[in-house]
Amino acid sequence: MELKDLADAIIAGNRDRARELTEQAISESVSPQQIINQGLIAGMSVVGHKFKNNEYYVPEVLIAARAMHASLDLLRPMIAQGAIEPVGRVAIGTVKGDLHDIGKNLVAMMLEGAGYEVNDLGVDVKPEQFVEAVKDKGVQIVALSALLTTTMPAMADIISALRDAGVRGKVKVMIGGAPVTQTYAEEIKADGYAPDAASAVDMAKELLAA
Amino acid sequence: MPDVQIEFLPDKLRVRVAAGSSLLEAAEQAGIAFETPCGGEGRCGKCRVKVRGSPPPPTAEEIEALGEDQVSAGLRLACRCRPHSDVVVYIPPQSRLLQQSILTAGIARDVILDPAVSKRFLDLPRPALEDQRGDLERLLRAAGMPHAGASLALLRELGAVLRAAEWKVTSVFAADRLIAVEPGDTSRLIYGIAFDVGTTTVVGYLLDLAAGAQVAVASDMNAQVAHGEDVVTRIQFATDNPKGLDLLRRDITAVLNGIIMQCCRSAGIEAHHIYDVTVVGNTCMHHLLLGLPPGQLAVMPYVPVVTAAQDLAAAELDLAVNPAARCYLLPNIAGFVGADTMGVLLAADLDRSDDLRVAIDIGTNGEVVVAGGGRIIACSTAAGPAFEGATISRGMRATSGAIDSVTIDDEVRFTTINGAGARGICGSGLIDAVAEMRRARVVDETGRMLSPAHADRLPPPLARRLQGPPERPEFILAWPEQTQNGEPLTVTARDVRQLQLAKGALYTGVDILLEEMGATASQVREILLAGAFGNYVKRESAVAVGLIPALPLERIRSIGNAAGEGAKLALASASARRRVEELAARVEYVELSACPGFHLRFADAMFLAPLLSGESAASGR
Repeated sequence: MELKDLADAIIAGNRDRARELTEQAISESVSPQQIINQGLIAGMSVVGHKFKNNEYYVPEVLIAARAMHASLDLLRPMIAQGAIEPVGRVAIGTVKGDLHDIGKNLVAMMLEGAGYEVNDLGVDVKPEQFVEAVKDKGVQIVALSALLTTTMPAMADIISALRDAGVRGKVKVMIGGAPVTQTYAEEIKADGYAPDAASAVDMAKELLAA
Repeated sequence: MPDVQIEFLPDKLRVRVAAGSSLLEAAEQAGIAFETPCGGEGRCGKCRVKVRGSPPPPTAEEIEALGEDQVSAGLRLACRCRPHSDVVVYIPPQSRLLQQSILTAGIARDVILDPAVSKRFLDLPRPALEDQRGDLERLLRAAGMPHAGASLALLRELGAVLRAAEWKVTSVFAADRLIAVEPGDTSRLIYGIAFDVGTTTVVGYLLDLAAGAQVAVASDMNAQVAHGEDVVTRIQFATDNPKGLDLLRRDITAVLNGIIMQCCRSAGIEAHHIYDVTVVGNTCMHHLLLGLPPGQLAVMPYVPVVTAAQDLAAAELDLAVNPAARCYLLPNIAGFVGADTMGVLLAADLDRSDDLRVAIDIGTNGEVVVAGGGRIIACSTAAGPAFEGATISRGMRATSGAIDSVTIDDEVRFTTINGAGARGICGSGLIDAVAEMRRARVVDETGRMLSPAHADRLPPPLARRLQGPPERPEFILAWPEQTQNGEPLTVTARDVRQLQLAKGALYTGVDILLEEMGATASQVREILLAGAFGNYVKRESAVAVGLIPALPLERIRSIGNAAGEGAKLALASASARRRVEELAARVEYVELSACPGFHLRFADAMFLAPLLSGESAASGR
């Protein structure tokens, strides 16, 4: 089979076809790493690109991510066995509350689609939880989301907590969310800011390369 | 600070403001209201104006929202534009805040009249040596309410009123309290008003509590929209500004008092004959009306200041009714499921049988209630304002000129509210448009619009409506000669996406609640569509786009403004209040954002197709 077809199935958001092709690839002993790189990551990267260009909107990204997940689910047993190396490890969460905003989940999906291992800590995440993720899970990037100006200061709290725990130097912190800005990121000495899910993937890549 | 003069056209209104004030601020001073769903933050682009002469250089937000060409032609955003010299500003019709057509007829029902307030004419025996009872005791005994209480203010007036009226008076009781004593027989003049305070629109129903009939109804925009179209923006406004909460409270109070006046005029009565008020509204509206700081509603875990029903003096809320009038606010459930949902529950009798029934409020908050087997569960889906016109390129609220229904067979046909030239498209029109565009294959089930490059796949009358670059197509619904501003009215690819997100949220909410109930969609006996908007949407369209589970049409019913109906029931019947209070205690609230896998099911609900339990009933995807 052609992995390009799998990438296309994901771009088109065709979950059943993505499953079919993944099963075929597995049965043909294509390596999981290759399936992920040339099928999933390749597909989601096109999706991210179109999203940035306003050719794809959120529903399309969700539908594509849904197909990607179906494929990933089939590959999970192999990931558990260590057959696949993630591009990086990320811990993501909304610092306080979550008003049904899908932004953070979209970022998580896009990062997964780009080959990252994503620990989604959920909503209303306490600083200690992030510190733990860094210490225990070897997380290299901490991604924070806030939805109200009143909850943004919690981001600074998390950066302080990382510093107090002596792990600030071990991770890169990137932030996002409706009220968040580049200026604010500089103010609280975060390492990066991303205005949307597709840019978040680019930012993660940049931060790890630095 | 030097002044500048701003002249607004076509109104021909001139104001002088401090240089550097925004055009929005100047317009406010001139009494001109703008569409500002984002609260004047420069994000929605709806407050566009044309500045004649030399407009100030554009801000980044204006270039982003309007585009270079428009900006060079003098277009600006009223909320961002701050002139430092005199300017003349033309405000196009679509930037203005207009009155909207609001659904006011709800479900009629018979209810035993048992209001919380009552009046009785009394011809009292005069005091005499043999009968030296106190004035109050005399009155209470005659009224058959020997143990009622009376306020100090009332006691101060009581003696004088009784004697001036020569002991022929009408007593006014609210439950076990004597709230007023009026000279002569005014017992037939007892009215109450029920309010549905929506995020976007407010409706008031005036009831004659002696005759047991509705005698007037009036509606108005919720003036708070000037500070944000949705609850979160308003909560943000209240928290960020020290005067914010007070401003919002006064905004809504003014609207309620305006509706009271309108109703009185319409019914030919005096406001001081209104002795009772009931209110339903979502929790945020409830808090803003009471002046309760709403900040905690927006932060996890979203707890209200109070959920219990409130029984207050109307005077405490500055309502212009009888000074002794009472005001009852129905109970809330949670931060985002409020008294209005309780109103819906009450009116729809959702608890009366064990049948599995679902009630959906199609609006910005998108509350869903599922009842069955003695359980009642509720959630808020935060569908977003797409159903009420916001975030849609030519979206508008349901007011004159809004396209409110669409059919596509060999051609596109539509109707507008009041039959006026098309100004924009409202929620029901958008749902119809997308459903019909699906059927005509202009849009596929993933929500992708056909590229103009492939327009030849459509019959010619439809093909020529597909315009725009391949990555950003749009579909013309109304040609220039059919619209008010002479420009074609289109539904863009992005508009379809916005609708997908909103309807996906509602659908997912229904799906999750049904699962919580241990049931499947096919077991639902009835889906009730509520909300000002619910009455206009075609059931077929709602099913076709996957807004609600694909049940047979006879199991889908529109119940109109059920929240308002609930407020009326609470006004007409004190036992309805007991019932709604009991019900409130039984409703279980489900926090959707805490449901794991919400976003996966949300993705499942994206498809524009008849859906049942999250699976597309169409092609296997």
